[in-house]
Amino acid sequence: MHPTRELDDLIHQRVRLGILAVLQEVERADFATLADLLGLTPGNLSRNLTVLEEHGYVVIEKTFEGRRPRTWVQATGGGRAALDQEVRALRSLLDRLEGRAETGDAGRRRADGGSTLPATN
Amino acid sequence: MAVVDAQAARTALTGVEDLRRTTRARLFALWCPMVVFGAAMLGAGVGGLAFGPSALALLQISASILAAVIVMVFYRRRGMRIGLRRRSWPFAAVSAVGFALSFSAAALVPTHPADVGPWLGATVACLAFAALQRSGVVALWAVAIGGIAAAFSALAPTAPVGALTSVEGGIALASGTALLVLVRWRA
Repeated sequence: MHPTRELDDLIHQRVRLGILAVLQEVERADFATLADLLGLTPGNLSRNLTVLEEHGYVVIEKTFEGRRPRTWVQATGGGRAALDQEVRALRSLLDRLEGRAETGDAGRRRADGGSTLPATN
Repeated sequence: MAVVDAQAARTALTGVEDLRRTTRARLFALWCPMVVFGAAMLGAGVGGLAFGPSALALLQISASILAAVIVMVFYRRRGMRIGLRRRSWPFAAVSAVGFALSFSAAALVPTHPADVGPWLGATVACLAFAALQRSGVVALWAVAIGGIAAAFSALAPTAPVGALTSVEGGIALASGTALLVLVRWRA
């Protein structure tokens, strides 16, 4: 199967991939910290988190610390597996593309070398 | 974002790896275990030098358990403060195995001086922590702990029991304090 078929359309974009990358390293992350790490506005982060939550990739928990509301985000097992799969697919795609580029280069080198060989009758 | 070429795939992978590294860096506070375990081991070592090998064993056990609890509470509170909480059970599991290994080494492996064994166990535990955190600095610390213990065994086998523990503790305490000063200064 071609590696592009293994890419997950839902997380195959910078922000959602970034959210799952941060959450992969921790048990849970605070909404504000996540926005800061990813350089996103709260609105943008919120929209993307909602999509991930709807698909079961993250769990959002709203708590209170004293009177202060705090939102924690946690990747589910499915979310962690999806990121692992996406990284594997990207690596596989990269290997394939670079392998093809090398083959192309080698082909060109062979063609160049061939042109310098003495002509035979 | 559709990956259509090698450059786009590479950018996506680099972005993921950078974010994971940045997150790990935010979680990182090596100065705390170095200072806490350093102070605990320095105290235990000095106690061992003053009151003998049985006192050293008792002090090392109680000080290590107390230090482990302090470090875990520190990381938990820090996680709440910085908004990144990590799973504590893998660290608790490695600590428990590390303690078991150190105490077994102390009881079963005859070394000169006698407190080399636990430090070899501690080296293995630190290497496990380094793997868990994917941290080269922690791995370096583990190598330093093992190196000091091996050097002590080779160069000062007749040193009194507690001397190595005092040296290891003192070095960890000094390095941890220096690291804390550096972190605060850079912030």
